[in-house]
Amino acid sequence: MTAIRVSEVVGSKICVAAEDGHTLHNVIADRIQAKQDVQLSFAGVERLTTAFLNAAIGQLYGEFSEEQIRQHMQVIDATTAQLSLLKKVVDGAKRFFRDPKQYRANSGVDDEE
Amino acid sequence: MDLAITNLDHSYQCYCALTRIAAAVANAPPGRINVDCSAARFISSGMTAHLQVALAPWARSIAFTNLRPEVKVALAKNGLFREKVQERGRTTIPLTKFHPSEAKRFAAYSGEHLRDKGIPRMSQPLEAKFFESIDELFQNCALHSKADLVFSCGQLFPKMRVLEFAIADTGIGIAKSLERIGKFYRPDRAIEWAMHHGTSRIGDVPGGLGLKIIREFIELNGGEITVVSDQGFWQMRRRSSVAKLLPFRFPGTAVTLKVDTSDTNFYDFATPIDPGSIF
Repeated sequence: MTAIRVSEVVGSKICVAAEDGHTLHNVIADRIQAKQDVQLSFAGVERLTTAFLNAAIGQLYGEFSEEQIRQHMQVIDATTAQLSLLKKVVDGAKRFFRDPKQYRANSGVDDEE
Repeated sequence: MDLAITNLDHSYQCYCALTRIAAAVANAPPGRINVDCSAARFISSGMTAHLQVALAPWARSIAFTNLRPEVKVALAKNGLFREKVQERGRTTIPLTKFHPSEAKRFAAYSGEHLRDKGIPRMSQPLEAKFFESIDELFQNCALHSKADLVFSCGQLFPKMRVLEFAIADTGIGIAKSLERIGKFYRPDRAIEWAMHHGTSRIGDVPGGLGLKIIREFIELNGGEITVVSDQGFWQMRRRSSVAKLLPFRFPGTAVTLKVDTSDTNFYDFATPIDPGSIF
């Protein structure tokens, strides 16, 4: 399994912009689509936001099943703070994509054009 | 046109005064605007970012007059004027203008001015949480406010162990951002909603958790956060919050964080997370 270094895909240690998250998302989604395993390395990442992680990883839950993601994805070299942020994003994405209508009703979250 | 300002800190009364200035500037006829500062003994560093947004329509033809020397020096250190003043302690994070697409430049700016520049070291968990918060704030400007410009600045008060950081944008504001998704709240209630529920979803991407994460951080830190957007004012100080309407609208969104730098909470470091359990 080859690791995908987040900082290499983004071209920076600063992983904060949703736009950069989309770039990473496309790389991961292609791998999962091809049934390949993804080892995501956060080595060297200095700054991270939920906006970046939602674009990179959160939206995968709208495209693949939780089982597919769990089967193919693995996180390495992440700090506790980075894991905590990622967990918040993943839990939110799971709740959202399991039942978007209910999630919107409970949290007020809705579509924005 | 002549305007006058008094002390500007982060109290509700001062934001009433700031929005009064913004309303006057928005309706001003073309020409030079003189801002009489003789009654101002103190202008908070963070307020200079917010002033930039309030004065944005006339930024090139505004003159600040009758400034007290100490106020003039403080504002010059902050970078409000072309004339620069060197400071010894390097406690100022200079006023800087960004385009919302410049997230990396913003991250570099905040890192450069907050690390190893005479600012006492915060604990590693606190520093990580602080940077996470301001990056989330900048992303909110980029993703939701549809802003043309973002202004940021800050100041460390070493003796008080307080770091003040401000970010203001010229966007549509939180209430209007929610209106676009069919949610109609009074401007102060719209801020309250954003502080507790996170953000709206964009296409197939769940939105960032931005303001919610920041509120949770400041709540634990025991600091202060003030958010002004359109006619809304929302402030949390020492874990107690208040939401009010302002008499006039602010032409964008202004956020000021005051962080207790002596905080030794562990934040996300307290509970280790198993990477295998993430997905």
